[in-house]
Amino acid sequence: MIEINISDHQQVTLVEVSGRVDSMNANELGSAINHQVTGGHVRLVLDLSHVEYMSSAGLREIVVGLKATKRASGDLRIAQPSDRVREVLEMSGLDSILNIYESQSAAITSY
Amino acid sequence: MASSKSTLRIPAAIDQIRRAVLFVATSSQRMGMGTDGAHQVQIAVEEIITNIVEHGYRADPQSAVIDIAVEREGQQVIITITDDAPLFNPLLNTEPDPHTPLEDRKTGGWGVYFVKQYVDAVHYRAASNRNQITLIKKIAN
Repeated sequence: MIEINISDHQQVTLVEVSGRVDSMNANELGSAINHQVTGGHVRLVLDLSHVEYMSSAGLREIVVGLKATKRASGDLRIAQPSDRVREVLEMSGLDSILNIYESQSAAITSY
Repeated sequence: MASSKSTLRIPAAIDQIRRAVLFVATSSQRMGMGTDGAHQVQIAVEEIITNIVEHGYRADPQSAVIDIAVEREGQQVIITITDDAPLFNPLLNTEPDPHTPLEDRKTGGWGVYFVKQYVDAVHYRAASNRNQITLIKKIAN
């Protein structure tokens, strides 16, 4: 129900997520982000264009990941969130905290 | 439309939540709920059930169950979620503030907030010593 693909783009790590991010599997997203941060990859782009469902469990992992990258002088930036994701980002006020880009390339080149 | 009621009982476990959520979505749509409304009730139900599993039944997860009922009443779908955990009204929790800066944000606490955003009304009552949350969602024309 969730697929996570990770690729390196020079100094930036792209994390592409698709499917349903819910309380059953949000920890997989958290683990993927945490694995990058502990490996020294702290300039992250999270592409959420193919996420059709995200509950507060997914947002929790994004906040944890954002804090972890910032502590390591990096950032976690969002690329092209789906409408469903954008809605929950806006409801929780995270849209004004996260850097959100309309395309994957814009997010990657923002670093 | 003839009145109908769908019910489901699940073990109170994280790996059962998706089954419950999809049951509510399917039932709601069969009762006339549109795609957006069905999506929103899925999130609301997930948040309530996750709270029950992670907090309510924490002390005694063995043989714990959650009962879910979905029914249509006029132009609304009513979802009732009942559990046997210690009596607790999650609607009384302090609501998080969307304007909180990152450094002051707790990681959790958004579940009930999302519920209130995504349904038209939410009620709690202690019924026969069971927790009962009722979610009311209007069927959009």
